[in-house]
Amino acid sequence: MRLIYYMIKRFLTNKYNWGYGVAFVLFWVLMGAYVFSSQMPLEKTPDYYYTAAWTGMAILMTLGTIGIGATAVVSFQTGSLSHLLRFSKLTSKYYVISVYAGTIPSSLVFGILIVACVYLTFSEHFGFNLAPSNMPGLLLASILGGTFMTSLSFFLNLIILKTSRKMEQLIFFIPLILSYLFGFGYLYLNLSSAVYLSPFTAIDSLIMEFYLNKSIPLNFSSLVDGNYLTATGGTVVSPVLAIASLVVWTVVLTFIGIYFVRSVYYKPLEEGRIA
Amino acid sequence: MIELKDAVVELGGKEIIKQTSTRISGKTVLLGPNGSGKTTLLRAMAGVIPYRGSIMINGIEVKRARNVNAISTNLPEAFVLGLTMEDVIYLYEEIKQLDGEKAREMLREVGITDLKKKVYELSAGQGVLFRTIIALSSEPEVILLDEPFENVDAAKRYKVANWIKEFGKEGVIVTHELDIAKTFKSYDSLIILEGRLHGLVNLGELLDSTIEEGEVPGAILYMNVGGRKFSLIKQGKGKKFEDLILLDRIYNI
Repeated sequence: MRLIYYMIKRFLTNKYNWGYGVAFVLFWVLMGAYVFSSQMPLEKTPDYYYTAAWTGMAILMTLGTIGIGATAVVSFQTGSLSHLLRFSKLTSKYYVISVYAGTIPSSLVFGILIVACVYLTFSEHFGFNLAPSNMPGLLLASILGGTFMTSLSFFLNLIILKTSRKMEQLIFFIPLILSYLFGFGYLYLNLSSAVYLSPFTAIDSLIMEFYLNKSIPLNFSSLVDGNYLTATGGTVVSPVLAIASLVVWTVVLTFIGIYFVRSVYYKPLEEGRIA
Repeated sequence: MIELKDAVVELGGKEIIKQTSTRISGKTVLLGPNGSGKTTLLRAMAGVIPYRGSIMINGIEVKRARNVNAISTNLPEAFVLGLTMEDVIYLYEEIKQLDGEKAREMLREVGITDLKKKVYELSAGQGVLFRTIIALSSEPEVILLDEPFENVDAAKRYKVANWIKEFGKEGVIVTHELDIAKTFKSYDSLIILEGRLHGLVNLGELLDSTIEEGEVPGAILYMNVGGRKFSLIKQGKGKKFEDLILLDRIYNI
């Protein structure tokens, strides 16, 4: 259990995680509450949807950052892993579980903080009580989302370790880049059933669903009328399918991760240098 | 027993360890000048880098080894699990069955007391001492130590040498410094030059031997250095091996 405790401690006390995962995201939350909201009507329902949409994006960004942190952990530990998986009691399963377990408390703590800040700032700005309606659901979505981001980052890092570190600066940020792309894509494009295929939109839609405790349209962009959000829409996202999509992605990536981490060899960080 | 059979180690597409076969039992000192492949060979033995052929430690093929707790190394690459010294001890107590109390006591003996310090913040000498102490206090059967005296103060070198004699039943101690190697005269030794292993010979005999160019009959060891052949002869007339002090000087003969 010591490696699990150690990972939890390191993830929770990592100042860069707090900086990029909380402080930077809170900056965007404030922008969403006070700057980008200027064209929203002072009506509770559209404002509530708007708040939920921002919660989804903000948590997606936070979880993406946590994923990047998890990638960095593995990236630095190739020498230890290659030796200790052979010559100690450390197993690939225990290691992977420790990294995952390390990110769960961060996902929860950061998720709660982001939700609290969104609630306070958006409610203060619009003058309505825009409290989240299903907090346990939001926590569940944060854990599932955080675990998926970790599994994706872990997988991407193993690709780097099996090929070359030359591309790692880009590959490290893929979870965050995809979070932005799919997060905004879901809000402004009609992704139709592809929402279920993309774990990023699954996280986003689940967070919105649990924030509002209402069904979310599959085509969220249909709610956008001009620059306004309206609370009408057609087919809704099935939370069961969204959760299933996330779980399947996470399980598949985790198995690949556990399998490949066994054959990792020391990869000097200097290989990533370009000058 | 460490057994290499046609072992080849490549780095960046270049063969650093050329097809090598040998059998090491007990503790063996691996001598070699800078860049000869000592650390590369040790990394392969420790499972840190891949190799071709076979490297068996106590009957287990290194590349296929899983959860064998009998081998410890002080290679810096293997010490990145754990940020501070305290973290490493905490984690190694669980995964390497490290005797944490013993490790702390040995660290105190060499003046390392602030265990909250990050491993990468240690001075070169302190880093070597820390890693060597952690490797030894796991009470392994096999120790793989890379330059355990490098950058270490003279007084502490002899302390480390005594610990190496005390811990582990077999293993490889890599060094290029012949003065400290003298303390292991009863051990076997191997010389690595340009990626090829030469030996085994008793270290005491090796240090007392003299070096002569060419293939002299009855030599205890023949070596190829920079395309020239050398013989190590018991009580010959050439330069005494021990007087090289640093093995790098072998190229100046």
